[in-house]
Amino acid sequence: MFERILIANRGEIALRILRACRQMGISAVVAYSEADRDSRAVQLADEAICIGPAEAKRSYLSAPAILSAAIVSGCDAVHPGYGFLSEDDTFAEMTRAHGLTFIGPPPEVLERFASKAGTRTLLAAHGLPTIPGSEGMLRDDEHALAEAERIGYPVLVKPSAGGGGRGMRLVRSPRELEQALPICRSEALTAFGDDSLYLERWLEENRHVEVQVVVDRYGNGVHVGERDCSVQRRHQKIVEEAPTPALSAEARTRLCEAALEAVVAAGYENLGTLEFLVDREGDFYFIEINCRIQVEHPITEALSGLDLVREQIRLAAGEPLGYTQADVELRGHAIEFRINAEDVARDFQPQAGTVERYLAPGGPGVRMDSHLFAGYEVPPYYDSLLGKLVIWGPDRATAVERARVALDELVIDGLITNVEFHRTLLTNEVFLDGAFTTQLLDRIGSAAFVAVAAR
Amino acid sequence: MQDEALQPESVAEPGAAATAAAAEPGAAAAAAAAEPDVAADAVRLGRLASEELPALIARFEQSGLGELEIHHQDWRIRLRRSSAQAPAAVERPARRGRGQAPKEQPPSQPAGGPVSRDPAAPGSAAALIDGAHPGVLAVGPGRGAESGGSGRRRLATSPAVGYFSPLDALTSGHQVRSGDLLGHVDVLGVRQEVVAPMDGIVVRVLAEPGQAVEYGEELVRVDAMRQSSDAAAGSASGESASGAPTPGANASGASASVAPTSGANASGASASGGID
Repeated sequence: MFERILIANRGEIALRILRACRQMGISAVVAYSEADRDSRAVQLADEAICIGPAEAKRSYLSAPAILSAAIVSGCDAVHPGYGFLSEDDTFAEMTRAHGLTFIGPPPEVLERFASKAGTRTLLAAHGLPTIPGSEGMLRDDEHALAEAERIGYPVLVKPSAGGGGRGMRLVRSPRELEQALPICRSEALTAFGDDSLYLERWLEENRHVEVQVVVDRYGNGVHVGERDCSVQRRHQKIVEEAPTPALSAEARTRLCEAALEAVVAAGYENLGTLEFLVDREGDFYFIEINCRIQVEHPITEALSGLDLVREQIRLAAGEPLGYTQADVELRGHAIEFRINAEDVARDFQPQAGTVERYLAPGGPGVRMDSHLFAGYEVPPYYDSLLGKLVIWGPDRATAVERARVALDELVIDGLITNVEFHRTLLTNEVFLDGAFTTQLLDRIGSAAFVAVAAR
Repeated sequence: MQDEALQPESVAEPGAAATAAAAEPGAAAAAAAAEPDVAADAVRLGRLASEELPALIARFEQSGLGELEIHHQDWRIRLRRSSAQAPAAVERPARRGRGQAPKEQPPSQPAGGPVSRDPAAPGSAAALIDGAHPGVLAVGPGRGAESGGSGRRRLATSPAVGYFSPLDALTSGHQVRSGDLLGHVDVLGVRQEVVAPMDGIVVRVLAEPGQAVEYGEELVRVDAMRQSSDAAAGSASGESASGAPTPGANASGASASVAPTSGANASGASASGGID
């Protein structure tokens, strides 16, 4: 088992990884940028090393800075968290080349699953229904138009190198596609340093359902159920829950088993999440795989009792899985609310500022994963995620009720957040029915949400 | 669509009041050196400080911005709004990569020093104060250091995390010119330069050869050279630096630092980490 892990990330996930290390008796070193000098993870770390200025490019995205920090502090492994370099196969390879273990899939597995289009082809070959999409990257506008014709509108233009919903545009006609391509390229270049794009068929009235898998390096794998992430705004997740209200128990099992089988056959290792679109008929189509821990992993932990970060670490250290699918029990219902520093009234504009007061809710089934504390100055250089409120209940109705109570208790003063938005969501009939699709927020509109909130 | 990619220019009001700070000309001592470009620099800097900077600070204050960086000719100016409240409950992490005892960060502002009166403000990464020596300001890292201190004493800091190796010639009393190589920090076998932040004399080398250092760590302390001909100019700038706002500077502005860019990387918009 590792003696000392370098946490190459920030915010709430750095704290999450640190907690897992602590519980396993592993020494935790936190690498931080100047902007995160006073962050919670740095405060709690066994050691903390400043690796660069606030700019992510020179700190959290700098492989030399991170690896140098790991070496000088005597670490034997690096946990990349999510985002940043977590799915960068070059970084994983460099980590290994310097005698350190990358906590996640090994470099060759990351490389195999690096291309979005390539992965669709790979998993389709292993029996997974996949969403129609472009073959490989779009060479030029002509190629894009031809592929869109073949796939059928509406199509989603997506950046090959990134995730998180950025650089994506939904287009419904050739003209819209032509207009969107240069915009998407430039957004992708800015966000991910790579402007390659591909296309994917967009299903109207779809739900976004993803499957969590855990696979050791000996070919043993289990799924830990699915998560429904349909409540999105501009393709960015805001609320997630498990199990998905969209599918019957039997359909859920079919989905999860299909996902696991395909991904194990394709040689996957460590933790991963396979994302699907589910249409009105309940048919699912694979879109992409995330080869890292995900933001919404706590809802799976709530249902299963597993510590997913701990599993990542264990498996990266070469331990066998140690349990079978029959041992995985999923109980109850969990919902996660992403608490962001954003101004819902002003089109969710990201906010910076200082947290004047912070009080986390508690009670049965209430978990708050956050790096906030009173006095913390939220840096403007990174994403706006302040924390995740994760609620568990024996059934969905109880989870919703507990969520209402918890959101009422939660206090974050000093900056504008989306807490009110979440409170409003819990009064929305479509959400409460569980029959919502990814169109939920667009259909209702942010304005309507805000208007209700202002009541 | 881009609501997760935050650019400094588009950040909304942080909400906290700016603390009082004075702009600092700083380089008057350097002006006394024989180099004509250094003297011209000082003249420009003086004008900048007394005319342009106060106006800029006033404008910045009225805006909702939290931080603003301007590149103008050779100069880089960064204005940053710092938190009015020192968070007493925040523990100073002050940890270093080798598990050594934390370096002291003083909880209270020393009498000297023209920068933000709130050194404990989280994220005030622009300057570190050595409490034992009022008026000492960390600059750097490495090259193209930000000035803003008394001009009397500066620190060369590490440009990266790695192993420090000072030049053999680097000893106390050694004279250096601004930009002179003082040593290297080895990052995975690639050597990054540590350079002198100003003309002066090496007072102390703060890290051992082979020592693991982090980004921004203080490596070498350099004192300004005091020559008889410029003693008056030097001490004048020194005095004006020790706490009183310089004439013309806006008393209730944000902390300001001004630096010649001299080829240092401009910090541009940063890519934020993408998440699910």
